[in-house]
Amino acid sequence: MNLTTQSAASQPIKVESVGFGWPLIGCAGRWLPSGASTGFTLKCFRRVPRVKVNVSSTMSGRVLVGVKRVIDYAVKIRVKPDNSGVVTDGVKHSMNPFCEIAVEEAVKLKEKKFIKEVVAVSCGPQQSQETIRTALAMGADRGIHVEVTGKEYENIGPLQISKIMAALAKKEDAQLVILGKQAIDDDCNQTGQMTAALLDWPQGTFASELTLEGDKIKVVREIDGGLETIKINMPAVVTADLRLNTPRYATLPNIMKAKKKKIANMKPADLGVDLTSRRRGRYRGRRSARREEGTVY
Amino acid sequence: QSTLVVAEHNNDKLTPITLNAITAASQLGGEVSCLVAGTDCAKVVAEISAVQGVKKILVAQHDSYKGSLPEELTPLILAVQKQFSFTHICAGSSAFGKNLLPRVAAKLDVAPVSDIIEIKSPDTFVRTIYAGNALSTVKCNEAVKVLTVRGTAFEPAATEGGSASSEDVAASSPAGVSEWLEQCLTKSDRPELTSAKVVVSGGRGLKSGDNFKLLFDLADKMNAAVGASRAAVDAGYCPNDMQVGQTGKMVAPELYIAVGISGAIQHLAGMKDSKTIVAINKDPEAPIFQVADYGLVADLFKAVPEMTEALNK
Repeated sequence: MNLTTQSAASQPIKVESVGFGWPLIGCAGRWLPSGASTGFTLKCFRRVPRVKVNVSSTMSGRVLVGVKRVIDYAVKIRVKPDNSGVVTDGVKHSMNPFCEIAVEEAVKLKEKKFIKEVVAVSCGPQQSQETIRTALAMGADRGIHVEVTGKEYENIGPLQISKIMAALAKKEDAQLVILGKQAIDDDCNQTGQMTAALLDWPQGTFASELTLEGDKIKVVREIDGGLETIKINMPAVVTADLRLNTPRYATLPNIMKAKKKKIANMKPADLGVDLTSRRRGRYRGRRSARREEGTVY
Repeated sequence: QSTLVVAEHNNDKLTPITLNAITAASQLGGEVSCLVAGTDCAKVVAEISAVQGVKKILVAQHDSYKGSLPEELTPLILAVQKQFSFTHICAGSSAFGKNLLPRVAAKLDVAPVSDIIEIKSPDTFVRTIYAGNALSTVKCNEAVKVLTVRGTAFEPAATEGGSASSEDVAASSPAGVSEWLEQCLTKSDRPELTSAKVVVSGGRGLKSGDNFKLLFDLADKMNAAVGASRAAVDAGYCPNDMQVGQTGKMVAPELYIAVGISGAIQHLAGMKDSKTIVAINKDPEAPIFQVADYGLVADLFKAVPEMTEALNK
C-alpha cells in the first residue's frame, strides 16, 4: 500500500518505508550502527520531519477497529445435536482473519503517522478479551471490551453490533472505523455497512487499498469482475478485503507489552444500546463429502 | 405482501444476478416491483419490462446515481419504501447488493438476512454459515425483510413474455459525501464465472501464472469460465476476481473441473454445489477427491493438454 500525502510545499511525498515509527523518505533502510563496539544500538541516519497530514484540527486522529472472536478457521465445525447452534465448547477460537487485516491496516496508518491512536473493540463474553489482547500485541494502543454474555450473546447479530460500534465511534470521537468485510462464522458481511448507516458516514467496503488524502480517503474496492475506486469523506467506515495487506505476527516482546495496555470494560446498556433481536436461527449440519468412490488411478 | 427488487445494472445492461433475485422475489408471493436507479437507464427499463414476474418498474434517474454509491441509493430506497410500504426488499448477493442493502436495513432498524439459498416461507429463509459447512434456518420477525439472494441458488427469471409497467419516482437529493472515480474490470471473452455452465479452475498445482494458459485453452474448447483457488490468487498466478471460494465467488455450474487444487475447506465452500465435479490432481490423498464425482490422479501438465487435444477431435 502506498500512502501519498501533501508536504508543506504541497509536493507529494511517498512514504516508502517505516521503521520504528519514523518515516524515512527516499532513504529506506539507511540505519547506521551508533557504535562499532556494540553494533546493536541503531540510530537513525537522517530523520526527516514528520509528514504533514492534513487532518483537520477538529479530528481526533483516532481509529476504531472491530475484532471478533470466532472459531478458528482450521477447525471443522459441528452442529449441536439439538440444532440450536454450533459446538463451541472446547473448540479453538481465534481472531476473525478479516479483523486481523483491519487491525494491521490501522496499525500501519499509525506507523505512518496518519493517525494517533488505534482502539480495538470486541463485543462478547469474557474470552473476547483474548482477542483484544491479540490486537494490542499487533500494535493497537488500547482496547474496549463490550461484555455480552449468555442468551444475549447467542441472539445478537450484526445490527446490534453495529449499534454498539456506532455508539463507540461517537463516544471516542473516531475519525475512521475499520472492520473486516465479514466474519468467517456467520458470513453475514453487514456490520461495516450498517455502522456507516447508523452514523450517516460514507462507507468504503471490501477495500483492497486505502489512501488518505487530506480529509478524504481513496478506497480501491474489490467488486465482481474487477476493481473500483471511490473517494469518500472522513469520518468514514472501511471494511477490509483479503488483499488489503498481510497481517503481521505478534512478536514476543509485543505480546509482553500488550499485557500492560489497558482494556476498558463496559456493558451495551452503558452505551444506550438495546440488544433486542427479532431473528431466530436453527442450524443444520451439511455433508462436506459427497461421494467416496470413483477415483481412477 | 409485496417485494421490491433493487436492480443492478450499468445503465446499459441488467446484471444477470438481478434475474435470480426476481425469481426469489416471485417465490415470496405477492407483487414484485423493480427499482432501477441510474444516470440514463431507459435500456435497462426496457429489458426488465420483458422479464416474467415483474409487475411494476420504478425508475429514478439522476447524475448522483453514477457508480451506484450506497450513500446516494439508500435515501432513494427509503423514500420508495415510505411510499409503497413493501414487506420485502431484496437484491442479488453481489458486491452491489452486499454493499447497499445492509445500509438500507440499518436505516430501517431491521436485521437483514444475507445470501439466502432457500425460501421456506415469507419470513423463514435458509442461508449457509461457516463457509457452507452448516446451514442456518433464520426466522425473521422484522417488519420489513431485507434480503440478499445467492444467484446460484435460484434459477434466473425468463427474460421474455413479461409486461411490466414503468413509473418514474422522484430522485433523492444528492448526499455528496462520496464520489465514484473509476472501475477497471478484467476483460474476458469467456462466460462470467458465476453464471457459466462449465467452470475450469486452477490451483497452486499449476506452479505459475503462465501455466494458466493450459486452462484457458481447455476452457475455450468447452465455452467455460476460468476460476482459481485462493492459493493460486495469493501466489499471484491470477487476479482476485477469478477466486472461487468462501471469500471469493460462489459457483454452481453443471460441470466444475478442478485442476491442481488440493481442496481446502475455503475453496470447497465456493464450488461444492456444482452438479458434477471433476478433479485432476497428482496427490491421491487430496481432499478435493472427497467431493469429486470423477477424480483423475495424474500430472495435470500431461492430462490437461490431452483433454484439450481430445476435444479438438
